[in-house]
Order: sequence, then C-alpha cells, then structure tokens
Amino acid sequence: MEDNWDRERSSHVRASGLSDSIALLRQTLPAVLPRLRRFARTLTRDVQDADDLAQNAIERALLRAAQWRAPPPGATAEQIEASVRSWMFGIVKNAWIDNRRAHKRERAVVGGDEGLDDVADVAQSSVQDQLSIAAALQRLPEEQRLSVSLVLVEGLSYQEAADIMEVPVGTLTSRLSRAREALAVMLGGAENAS
Amino acid sequence: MSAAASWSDAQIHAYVDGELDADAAARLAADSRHDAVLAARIAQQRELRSLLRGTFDPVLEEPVPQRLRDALTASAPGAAVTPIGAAQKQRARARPAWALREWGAIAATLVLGVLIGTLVMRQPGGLPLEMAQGRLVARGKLDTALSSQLSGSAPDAAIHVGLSFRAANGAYCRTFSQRGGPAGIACRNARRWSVQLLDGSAQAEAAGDYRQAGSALSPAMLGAITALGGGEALTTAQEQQQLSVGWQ
Repeated sequence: MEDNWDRERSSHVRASGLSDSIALLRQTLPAVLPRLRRFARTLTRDVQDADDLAQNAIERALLRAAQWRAPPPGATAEQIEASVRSWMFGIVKNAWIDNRRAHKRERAVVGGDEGLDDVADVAQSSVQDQLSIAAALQRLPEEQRLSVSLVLVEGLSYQEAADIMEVPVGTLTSRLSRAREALAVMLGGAENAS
Repeated sequence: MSAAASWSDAQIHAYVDGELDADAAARLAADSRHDAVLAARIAQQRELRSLLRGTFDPVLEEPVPQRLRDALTASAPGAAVTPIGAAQKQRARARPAWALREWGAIAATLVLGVLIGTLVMRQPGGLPLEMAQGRLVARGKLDTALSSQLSGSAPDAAIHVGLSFRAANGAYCRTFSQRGGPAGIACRNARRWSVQLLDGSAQAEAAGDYRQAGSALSPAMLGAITALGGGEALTTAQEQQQLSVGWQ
C-alpha cells in the first residue's frame, strides 16, 4: 500500500515538475517568436511559407514539450530564453528538412509541377540583373544554408549552431566556409554594382 | 614576407564570427592595421555578415502574425500539425500559380501577410510599385503623393496620404490609400519610399474611401504603425518642413 502511495506521489511530483517546465516553455516562447520567424525566413523566402514553418515548429514543440529540458532552477531569464531558442531552432530545422524531403518526393511523383521554390528562384534571377543575398542564400545546399542562417544571421556560436545541426563543430565550420565562398561568387556582381 | 599569407581564411572567418581566441584575435587585428590585403579580407567577411543582417533583421520588427500567437496558446496539443505550404495552397486555389511565383519575392519584403496577389488580380494597373534592391518601393504618382502631399489635403485624389509619423528608427513614414484600392504604409529610406505594408482588406478599402485620417485605420495598419514604433502624427507645420527637405 505504502509503496503504491509513494509511487503515486512521486509520479505526481514528476508530473508537476513536468507541467512547470511546460508552463515555463509556453511562457518563454512568445519572446522567441521574432527570431524564430527570422530563422524560418532565411530558410524559406516566401513569408507565408516561413510562417507556416514557424507555426509547424510551434505545434511540434507543444506536442513534445515534455522533451524540452528546462535549465536548472536559478537560471536567468536570458538563459531560459536561450535554451528555448536553441531547442526551437532545432525543431524548425527538422521541420524544414522534413518538408523539403516530402516536397521532393511529391515532385518526383507529380513530375515537377510543384517545384515552386526553384521556379521562383529562376524567374527571380532572370528578372533581376543582380542576385540579391536572399536569392543567393536559396541557392546554397541545405546544410550550408543552415550554417549561414545560424551563425551569420542568428549570431550563434559555432558550438551552439553545431549542436542544433547535430554535427561536429569542424563540420559546421567547413560548411560555413564553403557557403561563404559560394555567396562571395554569387554576389560578386552585385557588390561591384552597388 | 606578407603577414596576410600567414592568416588562413578559416582564421579570418573565426575572427569575424568572434570565435578566434583572444591572443590570436589581437595579433590578427594588429597585423590588419599594416596590411591592406588582410584588412580587405576581413572587411569582405564583415560586409557579408552585415548584408545578411540588413536583409533579415527587419523580420524582427514585424508584428508576429495572429496565427502564430494562436498556435502558442492552443490548449489541445493533440491538434493536427499545420502542413508547411498550407497557406500557400490556400492562396493557390484562389488565383493562378504564376501570380504566386511572381509575387512571392515581393511579398517577402512586406511587413504583414498581405493580399498583394488579390490586389494585383483585381486591378491590372495596380499601384505604381517596383522592386529595387529587394525592397518594394513607390514610383510614379504614389511616389509623388508621398513626397509632396500634405496629409488629409487631397481627399478626392486617386492616392490620398492619411498621416505621417516618425518610426523608432528615425525614418519618416506615411500612410496612404488608393481610391477603391488598398491602404498602406511607406517609409523613407535611401531616398525612396519603401512600402512596409499593403492592406487590401475590405476594411482598409472602406477606410480608404471614408478618408478620415487616423480614425479609420484598419487593425493591420494600426498594428504596423505600432510595430514601427510610430508615436504622434506629424503636425501640418512639421510636414511642410519635411516636404521641403525631402523627408530625410
């Protein structure tokens, strides 16, 4: 009997710790939203698509709120926010990659009719004589684009960006180097002209 | 012997990214003062960073769309997850896909999710706007009205300027409405009027027709003005002053 009672009590304690953590997550998320939207926008140019991506990530996050590991008690508001932000960036990244995989499959089946991203990029570059930085970014391979978004736009440390991308720091920095070279080549004309 | 040759690209990247250890960073900074090539390599990387920040930082100033706020407060976390592209598919049903593609890039520069596609479909002439350096800027009669019309002075004109205010970043911004068309906000930036918001909602159009500056702004317009940090509307005297100096 007593065992049972203990077990119930401890599961109750765990549950309340969990609900505190979920409450903290929900409470912190609004502060993270603007940067979440910016991160999504670097990955997906269309405003609506980027907000779809952010919304999808929020929904995924709330479904898996129990997986967020709240910083230990006594953490500053900034530390909590940084923790939520990192966790959310990881979810956005996964949602984005999942979506691109799904799109590629869909495209393979449908026969290229749904290639909105690519079509938009081509149309864009033929209309504009210069390649904008946003358009250039869209031409980078996924992994390079992520490294640019996280380090150069979001200003994260190499370690934090590597953690989010789930790769070693060395892999991140070499992707970032390749991305920088590619962007410099693509923007070469634009820089001279402006 | 050139100092620049001894610094690799990786070290320069780490320096610019704030990831080089303090000693090496100090040596690199010292070398760069005597070596123009090294200084240029650093400057190029800094420029890339600032170009990226300049392009994407404005997203931080945008009002967060209501649907994202709603997603945060959703009480039932078991609800279906929104597929990415849902909004786009909805729009795609409403009008041909080519418009989507053409206007996707332009929409990316707007503050709020906007009905620019609808607006373009409805009036082939549309507002005189163009893309310049990734921004949507006013041209023609819209540019003229924004630069030279006193607020509330031309209720019968095709384009009517409602009010002027100064954004938190110091730029002058003005609300405008097109007769029977959308309303919007443009801010003066690099000698052009950069359109921050186009609101094609029925409410905005009604407000545009009603033409009572300030009193009949749509929620989207009010939200955008707040997001831009707009305070008091400029007085007529202040506007006259700005008309004469080009809103710089």
